[in-house]
Amino acid sequence: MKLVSQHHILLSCSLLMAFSTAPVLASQPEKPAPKTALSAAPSNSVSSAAKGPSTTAADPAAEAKFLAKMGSCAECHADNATIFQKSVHGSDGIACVDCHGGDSSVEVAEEAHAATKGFVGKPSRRDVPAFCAKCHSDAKRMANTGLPTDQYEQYKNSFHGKKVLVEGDSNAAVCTDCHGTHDILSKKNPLARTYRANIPATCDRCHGDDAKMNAYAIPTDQFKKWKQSFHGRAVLEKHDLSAAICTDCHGKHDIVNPEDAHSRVHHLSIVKTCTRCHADAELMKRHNLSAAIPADYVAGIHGIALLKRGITAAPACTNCHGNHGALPPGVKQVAMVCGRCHMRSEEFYNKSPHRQAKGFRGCIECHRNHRIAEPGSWLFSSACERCHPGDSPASARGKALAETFDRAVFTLEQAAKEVKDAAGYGFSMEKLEAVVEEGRQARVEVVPALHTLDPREADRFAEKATDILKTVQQGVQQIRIRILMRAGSLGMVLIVIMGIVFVFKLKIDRLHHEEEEEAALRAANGASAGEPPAEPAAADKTNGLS
Amino acid sequence: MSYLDLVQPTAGDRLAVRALKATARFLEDRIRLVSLVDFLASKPVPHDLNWAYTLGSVCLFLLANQIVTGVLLALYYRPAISEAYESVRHIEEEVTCGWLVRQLHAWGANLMILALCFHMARVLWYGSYKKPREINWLIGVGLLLATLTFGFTGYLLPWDQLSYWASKVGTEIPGALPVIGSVLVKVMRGGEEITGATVGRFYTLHTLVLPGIVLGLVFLHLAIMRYHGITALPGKEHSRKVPFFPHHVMKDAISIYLTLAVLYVLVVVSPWKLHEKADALVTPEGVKPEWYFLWMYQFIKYFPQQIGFMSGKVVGIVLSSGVFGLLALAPVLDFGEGRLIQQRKLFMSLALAVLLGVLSLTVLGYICERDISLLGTTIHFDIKGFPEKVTGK
Repeated sequence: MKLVSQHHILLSCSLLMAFSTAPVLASQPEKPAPKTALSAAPSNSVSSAAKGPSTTAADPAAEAKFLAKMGSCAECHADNATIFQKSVHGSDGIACVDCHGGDSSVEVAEEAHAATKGFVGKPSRRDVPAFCAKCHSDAKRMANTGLPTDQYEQYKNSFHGKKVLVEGDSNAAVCTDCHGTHDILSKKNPLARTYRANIPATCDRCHGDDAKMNAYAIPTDQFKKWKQSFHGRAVLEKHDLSAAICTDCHGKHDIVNPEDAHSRVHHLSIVKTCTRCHADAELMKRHNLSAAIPADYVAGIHGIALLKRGITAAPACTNCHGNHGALPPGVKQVAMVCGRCHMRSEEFYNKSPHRQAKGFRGCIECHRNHRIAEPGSWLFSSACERCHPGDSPASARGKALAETFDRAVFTLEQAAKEVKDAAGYGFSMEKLEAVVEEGRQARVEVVPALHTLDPREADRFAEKATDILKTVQQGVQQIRIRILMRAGSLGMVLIVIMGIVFVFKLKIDRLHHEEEEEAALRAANGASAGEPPAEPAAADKTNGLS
Repeated sequence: MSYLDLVQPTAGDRLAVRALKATARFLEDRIRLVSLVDFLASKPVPHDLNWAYTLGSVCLFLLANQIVTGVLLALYYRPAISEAYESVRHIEEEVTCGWLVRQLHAWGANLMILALCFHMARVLWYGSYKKPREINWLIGVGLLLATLTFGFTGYLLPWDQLSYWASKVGTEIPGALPVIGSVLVKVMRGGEEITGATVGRFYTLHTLVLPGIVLGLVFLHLAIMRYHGITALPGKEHSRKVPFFPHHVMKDAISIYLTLAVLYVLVVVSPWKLHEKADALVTPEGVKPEWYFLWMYQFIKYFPQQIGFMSGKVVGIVLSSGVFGLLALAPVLDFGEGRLIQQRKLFMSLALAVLLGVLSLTVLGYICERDISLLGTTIHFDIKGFPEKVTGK
């Protein structure tokens, strides 16, 4: 008893000391953590954002109650008990034995840790998720906490979960890596690893570690980029917790590989993910952004290509704005952003007079940015007139260029139609189709070249189109000649065959005629001689050669 | 003047006859060929045989067409999947009259099967397979089977999408047979899938094995026919006889020339298209076997997955193959001596029922999985050939 009392006194002292240094201890993970945004955040901003843990340390009655709950565990594990007391679990009255099993009423370690008393001790990393799920997947236990119970199920299907549980990879994250162990705090607590402002730093503990990430070929500069991004600056500098953090895009317990079609950051899903915030009018108003941008993108050529036609080469939000380092491209960068995919257009645009024009914003000046319409020659009339008066030489030049282009396109369409019509004749169109394809290719090539605004580019294209139509017409003409020859041969063959058939028919009729005459003669002879008619012709005695 | 005077022998005719006689004497002195020809040509035939009796000669002509055009095609065709399609395209587009040879071969094959069917229908109708000609009928059934196999093996050779997928469907059918099914498919294909090995096998069968079998059977068929003679029309067994040449040969020639005319019209007006090159990863829509296998293909569809302890497909295969069994057994089933229809009512009713069934299944096989427009109304027929959706008026 004396020993126990001494232990209680020591524990009480240590708890008091610990409480006086609580913020320092609470923010220290099991492993030394890199410096996080938390340290940069002013205390008043975060403390007002969430309610801290309900500590009982200052209240002697509560402390006594807590110690009673700890039982003999606190005697040996005083440090853990100190930390645990301030955690969300400790403050909710959960005891060590509730997770670790064993018997806290006995004071001999061997007995308290007896397997027969359900002692499980420290679980392996692989067992941690199931260990936590004992309570967190139990709807009854979680009923009064307002916490969901599907985290374990989500985790099992997540990238982290599969690595740990299926592949036995202990490097991948388990519950305690993000939430802590004995020091778990409510996510509303600004000191918690899972507090919104702290989440990027929490993720960075692993994702910023080259040694860990090299094995998965995952870059480690996301946190650095995010800090410089619009989102990062809003969270860290303006303490605006509405800006996007890692979990908003990647998910929490259900994070999957971005290559996985179920991932929120899969190329086909990223627009939907960004839209969750960027279509929120109230939120966007706060950041002086238009909430119509996602709708504009969806209605634009890129949105239609990616989301309606499933063309995965089409860009989503992150292709132009970046992902972790998301920033709107500046005026000077627009052509560079577009030029990442439209390299040829950028190359020719750089040769155009527009490149040097003062105040000209590059691609978006004619094409717009999010609601990009299908480009065509119409741009030369409508877009030019945005800056150049309708009767100006520049506008006339644009219109002339568009006319030449349209004429060449029409010529190519004519060539394609000729080939399509001739395909019905039953001849192979492979060669002529290749010629038409050459025309399509020429069209694809001339479109970027038209960004130079040089009329010679359109003229060359028009010449090529005319040549293609000529080649196709010659090819089709040859096919028609072959058809005529075949039809002619058919007529001749039929005439010859009919002639032969006619002659043979005459021969057959003549044979019948002769037979009838012969039969009549035999009948007449037989009648005059009083003999019966002779047997029918002894055919075996005659043959065609006699 | 009678129009018959028009064909009075001229000086040229007489000269030709003299030249022929001289040649005949030359050959007779050395190999007695004239005697052989004489033996064949002098066989008496009933004078009143109708045009249906020329169908056998039409079949023979079409067989000759297949052999000649087949040999010409073999000069350019290359039986390897990397070259088969290209070689057929080369024949169609580059080789002088290659298109004509290929089209004559392709349409000739179809007409040959059609002519065989009509020829056998004539034999059935007149009961010409009755004693002593039962064996010749069996040989005829064998020739039909061999010709169908000819068609099946030849269909794959162009190696275009249609030929590939139709052959895939066709070779899968025996796979449903218990125990031997999978082995049979493997043997036919030379592996699990249709590959270059299948093309090699089909080509060998098509150009080496089947021609030998067919020519052997045709020789036997003609020899037996020469031995027993052509059957007279039922009820006119004692009618007057005329020599085979020139009387019947003239008729045969007319039928052959008319067949040639039909063949040439088909070749020019509706040439067989070479589709895109075979691609095992792209299944074209509405893949069906050739028209002569459509009835079997359609028949199998009406069987449920399982019938008792047997697979429905197996029951379908066995029953449809039974049609060939019935054909072969016709001389046994039609056991009476009389050849007149009124003396064979029961058997002819059975034959007509089977024929109608085969024709109906062929039609259903053709219209199934198709949209057919008629007077502004479009009807979609489902997989079993039943109208499913009607659109339009």
